[in-house]
Amino acid sequence: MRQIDHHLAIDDGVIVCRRCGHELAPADENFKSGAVMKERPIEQANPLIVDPRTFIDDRVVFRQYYCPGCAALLENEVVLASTPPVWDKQLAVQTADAAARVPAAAEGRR
Amino acid sequence: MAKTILKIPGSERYHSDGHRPERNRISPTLKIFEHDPRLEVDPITLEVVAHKLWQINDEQGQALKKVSGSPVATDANDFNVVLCDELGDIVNIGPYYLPHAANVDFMVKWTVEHRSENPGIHPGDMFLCNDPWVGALHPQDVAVLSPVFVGDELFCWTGSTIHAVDVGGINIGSWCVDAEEHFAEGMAYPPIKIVEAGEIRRDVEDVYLRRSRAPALVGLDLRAHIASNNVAKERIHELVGRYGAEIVHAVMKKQMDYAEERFRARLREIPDGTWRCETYQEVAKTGDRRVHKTVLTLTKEDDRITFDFTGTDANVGMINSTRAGAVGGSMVAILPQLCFDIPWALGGLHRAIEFVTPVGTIINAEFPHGVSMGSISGTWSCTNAANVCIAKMLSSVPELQDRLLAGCVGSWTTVIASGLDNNKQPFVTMIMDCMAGGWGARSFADGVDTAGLMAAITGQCPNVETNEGFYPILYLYRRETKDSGGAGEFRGGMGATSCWVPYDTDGRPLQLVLATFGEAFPTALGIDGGYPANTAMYKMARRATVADWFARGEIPTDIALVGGELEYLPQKCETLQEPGDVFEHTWSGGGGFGDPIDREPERVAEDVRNDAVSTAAARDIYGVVLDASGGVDTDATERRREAIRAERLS
Repeated sequence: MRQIDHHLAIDDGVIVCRRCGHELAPADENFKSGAVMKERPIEQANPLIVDPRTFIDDRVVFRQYYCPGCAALLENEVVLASTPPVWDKQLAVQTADAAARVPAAAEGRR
Repeated sequence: MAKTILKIPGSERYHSDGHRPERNRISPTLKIFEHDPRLEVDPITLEVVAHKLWQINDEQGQALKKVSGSPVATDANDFNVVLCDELGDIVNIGPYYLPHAANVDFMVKWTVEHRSENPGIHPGDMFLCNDPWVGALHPQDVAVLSPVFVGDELFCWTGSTIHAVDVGGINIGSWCVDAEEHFAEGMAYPPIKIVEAGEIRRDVEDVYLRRSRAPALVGLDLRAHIASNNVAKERIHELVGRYGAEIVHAVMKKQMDYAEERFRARLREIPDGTWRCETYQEVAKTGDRRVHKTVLTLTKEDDRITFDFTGTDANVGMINSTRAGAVGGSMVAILPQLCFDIPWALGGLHRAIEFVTPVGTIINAEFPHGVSMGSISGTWSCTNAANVCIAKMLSSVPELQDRLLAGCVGSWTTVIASGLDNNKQPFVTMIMDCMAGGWGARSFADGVDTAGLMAAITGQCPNVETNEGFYPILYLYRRETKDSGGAGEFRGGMGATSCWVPYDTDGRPLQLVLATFGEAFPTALGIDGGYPANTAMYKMARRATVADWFARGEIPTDIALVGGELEYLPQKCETLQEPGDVFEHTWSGGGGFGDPIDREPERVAEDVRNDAVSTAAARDIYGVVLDASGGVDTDATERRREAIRAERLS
């Protein structure tokens, strides 16, 4: 298994949730394609945000991506509403060195 | 309709890209020192001389602070100092405002190439430069460059930078919020010989100071520059006298080679891949209400790393940086996260980094687009994007994930104040309180509250009493801002809020210029499920009742209590603060790391007790329910977190 981040890893060519093992997407695709996405008003990103229309005309949204298996919050986006999901983490797909890069201690944290 | 800004023919001459100049473009009359490449330096001598160069760099900074009279430099550390090799590659950089100095190499390289023939580069000369297209971040960031000769050969350069409080332009402090082209801003001087054979050129100094609203202070800053460079030059001559020019020169090169070698090794520890971030600034000048994006694609391949800003929006208003700002802004995120144990010899580090900075964008503007906010707009957006991309990259490496930082201090909330000071003399200054920004969470711990800036690792938030002593203002409060740290398994560090009124101004108003971004949406982003930090905010309570509070012997503790008419001031504006008006500004904390409902409930309860997190945020975001005594209601918390999970998948 090869670590992508705190929540995700590549296992045998598939992006999986490190907590529950749910398979999200092929390793050469954006994990967000297999996540549950909720698009929320930007005010839900932080309690101190006031109505953005006070300052701007464009619409900025708060997107949250969850693991469909265990509901872990995998990642957030603060983006213009017109922006497609950002492919923010893209490890070069390699098979030769797919040796375990995730130490047991890190996996055991879950 | 946007104004058409035409490119000026011939302006390409002033574009520096930071690359080492070709020898055939340097006047043959300028003799350049070279050491014997076969020279061996024993390891002990190498370490001793390398540490001496660090010490000289440190003493440069101390000398500058002792001479400058500007609180921006003396109390907030908005300056920096560098040592460069003979053609400008940076060997040592001070720990002050980093992007200032990370671009001094751009300026030195341009100077070597364009000034070696006419007017010539000679012992005792110094060059002043604040031209963003040559290498400054914006016209207020003034650099002085000093060649160091050994005999008649150019041996190395010293350099200093200070944010000058005003260098001209249509708005005070030279933050030209009403401008969209450079001709309305503080004038950009390409390198001009300000000191010749050890003497200040009075005619050149007059041209420089004539533009400023604060010529005495800016003139004193100029002497701080000169003193700093003189000290460094003298110490380098002493070092050469003790160890020989060949050894000292060789150590400079070896420091850069060592930094390159270590940096490439660090990159090889990281899996190859690509990380992306889209981040935004809103409001390009007064009256604008649009959002402008910076796009970064970071690619790591073997022992090289590329920062590609393709896709970034076109240059607009006054929020643009030049290539120097994009490079400097990116280096701000690279140095603490990837080079925490590697010498910051940028001349070596740059050999493993490529920057793709499309011309005509908000991160590499064409002349004469507006750049007066460049240091904290285009440059800062590059830092924000690079900060997040590098953090996500490090999150993929078990051995390095402890070094990542979620988004730190998403913007700088500029406050320029002008009026009559406590001695009834005119003043203009930048209030530097937002140096106390919150840092992003780490993968194993919360971010540091009111830690500073990623851009200025030794930046300082001036004392309230210092500001009240210099300027006719009275603070009602300055405090860390509840809920400003982004939520997460580990919380982002808190930012803070300052609130003050004019004091003892004989009924006169203060004039304020405000310039920030991230007021409509947060710009210090969380990672791996961490929430973003708060937004920046400017508020003014007009015709408030604060005088009544003072008459009762009380000080209000919140702007919501002072009455009057509350205004949210826009991201770019110039306004007056009358004696009865209360002004509050809030700046950014850091982003969070990880899922907030994975945070230990006891830590959330402690945050609530410490006024770091509100009870509502504890319940709504962290899923932690507190009992009447402020302790964790374990059963209710478990039910609340299950409800959050269910809503997520509903």
